Amino acid sequence: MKKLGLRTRLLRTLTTATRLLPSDISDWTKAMLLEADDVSGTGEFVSWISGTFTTACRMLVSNTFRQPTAARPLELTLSALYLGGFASFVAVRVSFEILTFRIPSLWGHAWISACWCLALALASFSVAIATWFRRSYGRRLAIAYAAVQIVAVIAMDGRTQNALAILLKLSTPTAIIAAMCSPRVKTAFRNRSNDSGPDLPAPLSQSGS
Amino acid sequence: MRLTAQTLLVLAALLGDPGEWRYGYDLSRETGLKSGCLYPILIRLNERGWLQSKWRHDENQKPRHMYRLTALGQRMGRQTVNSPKALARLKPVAEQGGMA
Repeated sequence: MKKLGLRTRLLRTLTTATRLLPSDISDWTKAMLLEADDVSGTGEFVSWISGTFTTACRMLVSNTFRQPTAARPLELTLSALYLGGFASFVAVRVSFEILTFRIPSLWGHAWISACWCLALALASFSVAIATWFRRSYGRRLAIAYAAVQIVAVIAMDGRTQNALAILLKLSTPTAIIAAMCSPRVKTAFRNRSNDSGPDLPAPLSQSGS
Repeated sequence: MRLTAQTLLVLAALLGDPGEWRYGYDLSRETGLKSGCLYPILIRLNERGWLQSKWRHDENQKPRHMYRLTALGQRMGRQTVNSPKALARLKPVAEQGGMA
C-alpha cells in the first residue's frame, strides 16, 4: 500500500474540514486546497496554505457582515483574527473558571499575566476595528466604541472568580459589535452622523493584496 | 470603476485567451500573484458576473476549479485593461516580474 506524504495527508484533512464551511466558501476553499497539491517547494506551499486560510477567513467575515468579499481586506482579516481571538479567549477563560472552581490552587500570577497579554492583543485589534468603524459609522460612534472596549479590557483584571460576571463583561463588547454590524443600525447611524469618515469606496477598488 | 494593478493583471491574463478555461495555480504562475491575493480577486470578479467558474472532473486527474471570463467580463476587461490609466499602472508591475 502506497504511503501518503505529510503534505498529501494535511491537504486531505483540510479538504475534508471544508465540509464544515458554508457551501460557497467551502467550494472556493476546496479549489484552493486542490491547487496546493501542484505547488512546489515547502515555502511556496506554506504561503499557498496561509493564503487559503486568510481567504476563507475573509469570506466568513464578509458573509457575517454581509459585505462584498474582501472589499476591505485588511480590516476584514483583522476583524476575523479579532473575533477568533476573542472566541478562543472566552472559551479558555470559561474553562479555566470551571477548573479553578474545582481546584482553587490553580489560580496564580502566571494566569493573570497571560490575561493581560491577551487583553493587550485584543486592544491592538480593537484599534483596527475602530478604524473600520470610523469609516463605516463616523468618528463619534467609533470613539464611543473604543472607550467601551478599553473599559471592557481593563475590567478583565483576572481576579473575578465568578464565571457569570466574566461572561457579562465579555459579552458587552460582543453585543456592541453584533449591534453595529446590523445593517439597520449602520444605516440609521450613517444617516444621523454629520462627521462621518470617507464613504465606502467602489468594491473592486481595494484588491486583496 | 477603479481597479487595482493586481486585478488588472488577472484580467489581462484571462484576456490572453478568453475562451479558454484556466485554473488557479496556472493563473498564479502567470501573474506572479500568491493565493491570498489571487483568489479574493477571482471571487469578486465571479460575484460581479465578470467570471464564470466550473469544476472539471476528468478521469485519472484530480478535480479542478476552472475559470474564464463571461461576455460581460471580456467587454469590461478589455475596456479597463486597455485604458491609458490601466496601462500606466500595469507597467511597473510587469517590470517587477509580476506578469510572467
